[in-house]
Amino acid sequence: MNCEQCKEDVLELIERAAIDPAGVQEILDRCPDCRTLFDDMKAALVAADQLPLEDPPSRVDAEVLRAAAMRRANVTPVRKWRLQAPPWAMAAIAVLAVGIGVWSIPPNGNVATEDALGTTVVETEEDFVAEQKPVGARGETVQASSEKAEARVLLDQREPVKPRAEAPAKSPVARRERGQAKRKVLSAPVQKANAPETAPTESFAADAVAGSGMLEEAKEDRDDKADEACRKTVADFEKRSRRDEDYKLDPEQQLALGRCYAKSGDAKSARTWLERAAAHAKTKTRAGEALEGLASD
Amino acid sequence: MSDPEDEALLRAYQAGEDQAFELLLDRYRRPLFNFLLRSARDRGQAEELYQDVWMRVIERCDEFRGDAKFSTWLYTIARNRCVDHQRKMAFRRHASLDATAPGSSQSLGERVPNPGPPTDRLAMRGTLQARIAEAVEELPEEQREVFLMRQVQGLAFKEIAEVVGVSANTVKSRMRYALERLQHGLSDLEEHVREVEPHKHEL
Repeated sequence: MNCEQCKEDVLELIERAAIDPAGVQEILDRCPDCRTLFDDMKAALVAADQLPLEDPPSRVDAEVLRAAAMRRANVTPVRKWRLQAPPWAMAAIAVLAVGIGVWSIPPNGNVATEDALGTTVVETEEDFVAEQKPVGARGETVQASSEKAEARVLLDQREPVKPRAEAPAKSPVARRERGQAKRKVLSAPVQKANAPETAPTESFAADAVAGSGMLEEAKEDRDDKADEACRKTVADFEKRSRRDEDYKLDPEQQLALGRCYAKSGDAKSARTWLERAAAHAKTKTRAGEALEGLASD
Repeated sequence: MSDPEDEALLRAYQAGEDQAFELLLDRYRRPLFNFLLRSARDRGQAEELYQDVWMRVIERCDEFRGDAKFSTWLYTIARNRCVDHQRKMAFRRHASLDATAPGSSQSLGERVPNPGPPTDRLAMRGTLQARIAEAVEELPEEQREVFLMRQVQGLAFKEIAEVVGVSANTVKSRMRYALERLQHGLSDLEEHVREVEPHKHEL
């Protein structure tokens, strides 16, 4: 240990002297300056030990203890934590909730809706495209025209639907484009049929437009499906009402049933149920429209 | 069985045990009060600061996560209060003593009856302890706080460094300077000190 180190660590040396006096003595014997410093520091510490220590007034201690007891009585730690949940935690929970909501949306954009009688109708873009396929009365594929064939080729070249884990995240822009394309299909003029294949959304629109001839067939097919659903609805209702005399329908169900009867040509039953539905504020407008349609038919 | 650590006591108090807080208060009341007393140099203000520091400990005890030692935390609060107090005092001292107060023909300096040390201090002066207390109070602020934390509370240099916000070597240097000053200021009492504790000078 040189003089500089001795100076720096003189306080440690004083402490060390209590347990290793010979070692410290040896260090100090090498340098008289270090010994002087050591002695001065030690003397000062001895003097400092004489610093008088005073006690705080007991009334202040009592005040402090009273405050400590009050704090515990007033605010338990758990309650305080709940009340003081930090804003960032609340924000994180909100973000998480939104994230779960977004994640729970089906990967291919399926939108499941339930009609009034509980029949689930699932509309997807894939279904929509599939509906464009020319299908004959028995279900076999109809040979399409050259435009249709081209549309089929484009259709087949589309990327298969990937499972959620593999599918890239859909940006809001992409969603909007797909929505626009879908709307375009419904309203696009025929001259767009030969649109070049560029972006997937455009090709999708082109596919659908090229198959505009298929729309009518698809519509018929959809009507068939709707008729089928209606038949099931009516049959289900009649079955239930036979089993249970007290079986009652809510206004939405009444409206749906009235529409189905109207579709099946049973105007009397249709009017009965639509009038019942029109008696409710919730379905009044729609039932009224359906009744008007019935009257015009 | 060893006494529970300070941090365990604080956790127990957080969990609702009042007795744990009493134990903590009992451990720290004397050194903390003397740290504040020698820093504020006024008993009344020291009492006020002492109560204030404990109130803050009570208020903020839920914020204590055990990353540092309780003693470090406590003295950080105490030191901050002292710094605030000294700033306030410095601001007050700036008021001119020569200016006359409204409605009075005398200046503040003339109106103050005894500008010297308080009577109780004068009565103690001459004794060894009073001289040492005075010498400690006259130390520069940064040396005094280090000296008091080390000498009165027995904090390690590393802990003091955390409280003060400087390196441990700086703390050691400040302690050394403080002792040198005390040694110099109390040189005339050296014989007296040796008489009080002769066994400490055997090396």
